[in-house]
Amino acid sequence: MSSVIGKSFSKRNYDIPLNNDSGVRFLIILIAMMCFLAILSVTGGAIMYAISKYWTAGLESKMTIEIPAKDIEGNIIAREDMTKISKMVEKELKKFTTIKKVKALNDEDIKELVSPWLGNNKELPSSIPLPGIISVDIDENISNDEMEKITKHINKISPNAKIDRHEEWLSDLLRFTGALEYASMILIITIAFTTITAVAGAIKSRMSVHKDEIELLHLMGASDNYIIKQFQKHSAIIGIKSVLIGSFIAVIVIPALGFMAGSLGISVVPNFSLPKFGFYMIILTPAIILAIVIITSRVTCKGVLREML
Amino acid sequence: MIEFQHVGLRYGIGPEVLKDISFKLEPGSFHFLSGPSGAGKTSLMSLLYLGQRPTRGLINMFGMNIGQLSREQLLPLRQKIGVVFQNFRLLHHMSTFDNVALPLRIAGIEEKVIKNNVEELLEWVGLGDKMHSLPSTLSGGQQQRIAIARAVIAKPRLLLADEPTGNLDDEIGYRLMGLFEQLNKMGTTIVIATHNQQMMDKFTHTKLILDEGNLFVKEPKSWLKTKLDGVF
Ligand SMILES: Nc1ncnc2c1ncn2[C@@H]1O[C@H](COP(=O)(O)OP(=O)(O)O)[C@@H](O)[C@H]1O
Ligand SMILES: [Mg+2]
Repeated sequence: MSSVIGKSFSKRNYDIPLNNDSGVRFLIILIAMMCFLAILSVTGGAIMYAISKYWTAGLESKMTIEIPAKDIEGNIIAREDMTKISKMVEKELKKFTTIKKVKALNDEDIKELVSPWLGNNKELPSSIPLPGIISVDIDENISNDEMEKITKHINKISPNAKIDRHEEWLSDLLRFTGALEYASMILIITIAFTTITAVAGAIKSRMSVHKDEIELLHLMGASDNYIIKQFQKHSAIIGIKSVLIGSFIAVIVIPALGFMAGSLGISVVPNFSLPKFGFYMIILTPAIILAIVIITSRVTCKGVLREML
Repeated sequence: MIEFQHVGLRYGIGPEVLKDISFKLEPGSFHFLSGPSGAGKTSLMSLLYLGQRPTRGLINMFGMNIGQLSREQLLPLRQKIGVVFQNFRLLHHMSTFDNVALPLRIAGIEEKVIKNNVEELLEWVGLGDKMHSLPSTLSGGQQQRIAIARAVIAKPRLLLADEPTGNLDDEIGYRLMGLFEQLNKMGTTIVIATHNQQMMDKFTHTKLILDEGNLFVKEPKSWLKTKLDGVF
């Protein structure tokens, strides 16, 4: 007897027989897929963001000055002279407070830099012209005026010195990762809209299927909220199931993708780690999908009820 | 309690199903609503249970002009009205008990009180052993009794019953009429739509007769009333 009572009480979870409806499974699969795709996109976006940060970290404050092996007239500068010029530039730059560190690379350093092209010779043949290279750490927020002043001082010593602030290739890289970040954002917005459309459609069709029951509840004096609560509970359960399934798939698939990428050797960033912010975003994604499902069902339900008597 | 002034009703662009109806029901009164099939009994009932708004005219219920009330404002009025629908309108996915308990749950009554009241009423209408059955497994007469129990469980101030004894054999039919009488004595205003002439003849209540959308009031003959008062 008590089990019979228990059954009858558990059955009255809904005054409207929502959980008997077909199409529930379809909706769960759809939302689960949307959740999985959303997690995938957020992860992709976060990785792109992290990669661009990793590659560019500190580069804003770095500058390289190259003194070409030939002077303006096209004469090859002797090694000893080159060392002297480099030292002069180094000394000159040390006068600026916006410059934190200056180091003229010595022959050893340069030898190492060019070794991939020239082979690992013990002695650099003096016949081969080598540029002078000075590595500089500057204040990130250096003004353009200050930068011009520094350039002038360097050019007094070496009129054809090349000053490279890594800006060009850096901005190319940032354009690339930025585009991918935008792509993942657009994907996320599309996923959100698809979810909203699917849930709103499902609620509308369910409400028209159960129009009689809803009307009956109204006639007994049930408020809109009383009815909305039932639909909301129903979609919350669907939402939770979907989000769990979607997250489960993501937990399996994303590490697998990461592993594949690693084993293919395309892991461009060794020892890559996601920033905390990105990690929270990924964790938050299923919760946001769930919130979208519940809020959409609530708003849709309210709108439909408003048109009934 | 209830006043209709020049009320008309049509469905869509169809003809007027109710034409220029005016009447007044005093609180605590008991009326039969009769007339041939298709006369508009169910339509008039639906206006009374606030299931639709009239296409013209004025309806005043519980001291309020219905036409001026919003959806939200109709809710408390609806909670004061119990309805036995012609086709019962039971919820077939829930048990007899839950069907009858529904008005109390909507009103937010405590579950313990609900259990006591519903069980008592179901015993009384002879469905004590069917409490946990689904309505669809029960006979038409049993379903009708569920519908009636659901209509009266919340002690409505106005009880509307659309052909409530149609599917019942005479004995249970009279017993339910007895229940309606009892509720009426406790102050509930009652309107019963029926075309069961035999049933109406046994009682002395005023008849509202619908014919082709027009309403006539037929007061009981006073000598008959005195005579019958001795019987009941
Ligand atoms: N929902 C509706 N839509 C259109 N016409 C209706 C509707 N309900 C009732 N009618 C029409 O209104 C008239 C009265 O019907 P009804 O009120 O059910 O009469 P009764 O209950 O006395 O048999 C009938 O002609 C019927 O066809
Ligand atoms: Mg009818």
